[in-house]
Amino acid sequence: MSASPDLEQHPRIPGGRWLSTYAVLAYLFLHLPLLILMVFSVNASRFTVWEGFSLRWYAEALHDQELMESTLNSLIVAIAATGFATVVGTLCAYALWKRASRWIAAGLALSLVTPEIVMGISLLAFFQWVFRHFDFRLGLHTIVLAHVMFSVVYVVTVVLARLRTMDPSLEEAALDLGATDWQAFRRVTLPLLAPAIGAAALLAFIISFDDYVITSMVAGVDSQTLPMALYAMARRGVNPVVNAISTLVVGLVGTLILVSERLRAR
Amino acid sequence: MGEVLELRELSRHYPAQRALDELSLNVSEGEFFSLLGPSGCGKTTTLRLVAGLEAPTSGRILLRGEAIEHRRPHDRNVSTVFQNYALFPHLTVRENIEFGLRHRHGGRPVDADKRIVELVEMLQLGDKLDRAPEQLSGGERQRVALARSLVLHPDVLLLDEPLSALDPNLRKQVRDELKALQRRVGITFLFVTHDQEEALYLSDRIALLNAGRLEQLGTPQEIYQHPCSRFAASFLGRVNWLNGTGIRPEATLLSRDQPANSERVYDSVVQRCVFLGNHLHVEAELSGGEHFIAELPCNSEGFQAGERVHVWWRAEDELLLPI
Repeated sequence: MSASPDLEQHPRIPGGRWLSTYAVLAYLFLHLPLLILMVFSVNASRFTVWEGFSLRWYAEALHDQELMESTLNSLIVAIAATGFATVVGTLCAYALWKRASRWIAAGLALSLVTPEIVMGISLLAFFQWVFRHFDFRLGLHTIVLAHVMFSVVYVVTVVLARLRTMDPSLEEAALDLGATDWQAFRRVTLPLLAPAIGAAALLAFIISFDDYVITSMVAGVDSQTLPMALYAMARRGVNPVVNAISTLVVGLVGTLILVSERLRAR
Repeated sequence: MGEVLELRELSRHYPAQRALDELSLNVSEGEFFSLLGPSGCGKTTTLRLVAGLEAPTSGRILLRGEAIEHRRPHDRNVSTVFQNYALFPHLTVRENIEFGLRHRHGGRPVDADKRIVELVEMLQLGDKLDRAPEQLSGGERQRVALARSLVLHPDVLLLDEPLSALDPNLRKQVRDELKALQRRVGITFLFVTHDQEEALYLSDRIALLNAGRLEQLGTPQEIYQHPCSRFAASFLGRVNWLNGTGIRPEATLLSRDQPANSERVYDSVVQRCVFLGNHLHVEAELSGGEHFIAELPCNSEGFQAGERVHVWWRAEDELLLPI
């Protein structure tokens, strides 16, 4: 095996070959199921026997009314939730940067470690309590609210990490040169934060698009999202359409993650 | 020349510390005024209070006779050159220089373009205008920071240790340029430094601060030659101490023969004698155990370690400290 030039600079690790084998196995363990899913998504056969390459399941997926509707719902929810979560999260990170508060930071971390099912149940209870007093029902809007709630903390984390690397005297310099607080934020801080905000928004989008547990608790009868539709289909029995649509989702999410990482490194 | 800036009993107290305690001083129009002192003496705090980046606990700040201590930073006609320059990394040199003109109270001045052209020429930034700050050297960054502030024609330019980020070789050259620039633009400079040599070299007047209080205020010569305290004497340069009397090393003399015309003569033993180019550095121990340093002209004859000599000085060279 030929080592890449930058690996050669490092001293040889004892048992390096075993370590490489271990790494390959670990990666297979992580990604083999996905690989199998992708392979069977282009299999001509309905069953888990290879019969030849075909895109028929993709065509079927794209013509499935229920799947397409739920995909549209997922996109609407993810875009709306991302919009709110990004604005709220960015402002929250900015505030925490300006005035660090251990209690507020701890409160945010709490929402990160609350089990999803608990959050789902509590939201359902909350909405039911609200429904007694106000006339509205479960639907896409309740899903959006729930998604904003759990994705804000991710936005805060990403944006705050970037703010902490920023020189506080830049904003002071802007004020000193005659900018108002808003102009200093708008012309200096915001442009410097833009890549991190972009990365945070993509992350929020992915988290929202992927969510099943909380969504299934707070969704109304006519507001099925893509993960819910896929779950229902998979439970009804083997269906290669599920493989096809799942492969598309993996592709989309993978691309977004790559873009997000790029932005974060900028 | 009138006063441009006046501080009246200006204080900034933190729960655990009095960063600045009742500082009063006046800065005249066109003056190069330095705030000198060790770290934590309150010099940077003073600058930030004048800029409006911090609020005073009590006291007043008058700029051309108007109280500004409650105004927001953007509403004060002063400008700061930050220690690390704080250039906006996402803007070009030109956009950095124009930033203040865009946001200035009352809109872009009619002679804005002329101001920019003049400063760019004066600071030799002509071929750097489209660069990003990260492509500039330390000295160039400093010049951009100066241009960015000076283009606003501030009543006072505030400089927070602007030379400390430069490497030592460059520092002396930039120091000269800074002094020349100040003479040329005629704007009042309020300069913060912990380097006494820099302060002596650049300033018309120096305010020496210690632990948040004004220790002494005067011209470089006054403070160096007539320090008001042991702290002031020692901070401005090396001092040999004997029974509470201070003598600067350059006023300390050495001779093998008994000097005739002085009462201040002490038997001593030479410990070290080093040639430092511009002077001869001699360390000697007085019979009472005091450690003295003498800086003799470089053409003086050398001394051997262990040699018995007389350390002496003229009475008029003693630093007179009020008791």
